[in-house]
Amino acid sequence: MATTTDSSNTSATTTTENATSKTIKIQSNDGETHEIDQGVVEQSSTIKTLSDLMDLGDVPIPLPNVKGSILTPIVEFCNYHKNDPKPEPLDDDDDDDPNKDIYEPKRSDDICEWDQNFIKRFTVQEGTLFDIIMATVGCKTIANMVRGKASSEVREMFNISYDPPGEGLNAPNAIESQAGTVPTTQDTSATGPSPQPDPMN
Amino acid sequence: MTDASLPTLPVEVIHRIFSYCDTQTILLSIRPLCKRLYSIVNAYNLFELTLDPKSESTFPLVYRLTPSEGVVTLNILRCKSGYSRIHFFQSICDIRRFTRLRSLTMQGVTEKDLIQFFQQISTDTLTSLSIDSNEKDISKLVSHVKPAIEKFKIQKLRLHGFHHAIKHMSLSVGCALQHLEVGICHYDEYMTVLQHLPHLQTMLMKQCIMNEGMTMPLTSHSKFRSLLKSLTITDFSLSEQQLQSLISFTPTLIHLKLTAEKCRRFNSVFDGSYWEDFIRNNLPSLKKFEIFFCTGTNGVDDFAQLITRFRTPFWVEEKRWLVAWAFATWRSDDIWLYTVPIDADIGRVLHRCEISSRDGMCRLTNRHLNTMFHTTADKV
Repeated sequence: MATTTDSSNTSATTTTENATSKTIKIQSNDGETHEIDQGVVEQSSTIKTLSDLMDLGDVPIPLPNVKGSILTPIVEFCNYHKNDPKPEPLDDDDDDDPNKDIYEPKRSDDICEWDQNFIKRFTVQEGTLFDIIMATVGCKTIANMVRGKASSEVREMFNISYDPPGEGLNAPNAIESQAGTVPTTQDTSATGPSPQPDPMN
Repeated sequence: MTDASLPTLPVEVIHRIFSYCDTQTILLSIRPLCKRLYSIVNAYNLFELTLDPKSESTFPLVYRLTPSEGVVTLNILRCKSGYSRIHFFQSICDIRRFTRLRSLTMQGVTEKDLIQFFQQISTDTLTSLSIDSNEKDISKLVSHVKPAIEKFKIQKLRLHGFHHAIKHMSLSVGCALQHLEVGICHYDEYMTVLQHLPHLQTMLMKQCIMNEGMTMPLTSHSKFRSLLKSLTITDFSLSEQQLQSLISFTPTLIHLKLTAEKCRRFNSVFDGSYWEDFIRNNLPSLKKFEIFFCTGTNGVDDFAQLITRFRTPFWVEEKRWLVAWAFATWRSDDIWLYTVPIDADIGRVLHRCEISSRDGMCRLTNRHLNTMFHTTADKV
């Protein structure tokens, strides 16, 4: 999902002016219908593939996994970002940016002001933040929320109860309390790929 | 109200969130939350382990909790005073356990450390190696890097601050390097790189300087052409002729970044028309062009006129490259010319008067150079 600034948004308006003539309809799982132009279609591979494959005419494309209350802001988001410059690959023959290091951590501090205000409408308490999380901006926001927090804070933030409570696996501060008693020998059984008994218990 | 919550998200989405988090947060903050997240964290296989001043106290615990086969990146960073953490790492960790390691960064490394690490790493997945050292004589270090490049099939090599490293490396044509970063390079070292690394796509160097007694040819007379795509010089000091010669071997560049640490004499590099002609004639494939140059106030009397040379159809419509002139309000002797945005290390002070090629307006701003123009933050 693109993140950009106001200026880059306006600077690219000429690029997609021609792409706004054709419109299609999409429908949420509770029957809410939106008419979107080609600039918005281009931002969703799912909708684009469906619209390319089928000539539905006036029949809306059904989106069974999306509620109307979420589809509306998604369309708003896509409309705002439809004129963003497309991230061009530097090489026509190879999509890899020669300077891109796929093993470097991704940035999550580059959410533009509009996107930050946009995401504020979706809250953890109402659960709507998790409905919109398929967007990159949502993932970045969650990462920013939990970074450096104690597990007890994260538990409270997302209202997560222990499962099962009292068994210690997920007990508050079970891990943090061990930070001062660092073993010097390797316990390989604690780091297997499948869940193992917690080494702290 | 919905039932969605962090633990109920699809694994792919949770992994995507992890990709924006540090390992400590994933292991200490998220892993203990519930069984599902515990399981998802243990199955995650793109961990980045970093040992630095900030993480030193918790690193042993984080190391113990991290699924070893999930570690793809290991960074052992030194502190500002230069103290290396390599020995600390070796005292508590066994690098042989990282069987899927792809990227290794070691700061403050010694020859002995390098030999030991290269012997212990058993994986054939390592593709990225980044090292720097406090040692003055880097020749012995570099001599161990060359066989490691071939042993591990390294594609990305960063030798931070290693000046004239190339002459110690005896590069062979079969080398798979695609990305190379070195310190100061002699012209003949640069040519060696281009001629011996056919897969090289990206090269970064601090400086390219003439060999003593050697005259740089105006253009390449040989038929040799490199397929290099990206060239960065961080302390650019070449003349126009020297740059022309350098670039003549790499006509397929799609990214060129030239920044200068010191102030330059006010000359062609500050002229949009010069760059327009230069790029048209020499770099037809160039898609990304970044510069940061600094000069004194002598000879600069009309910002408005200077910026118009960066507002031609070539800059605005064809290439869509934005450029700005600025003078720091705290240091009035310096004038900067830079593309926007640009990642350039100019110290912490950013307050400046800026005139941009976007609209030719002058604004007061403290916007970071690595961000785009911002209509609300920049005041006319």
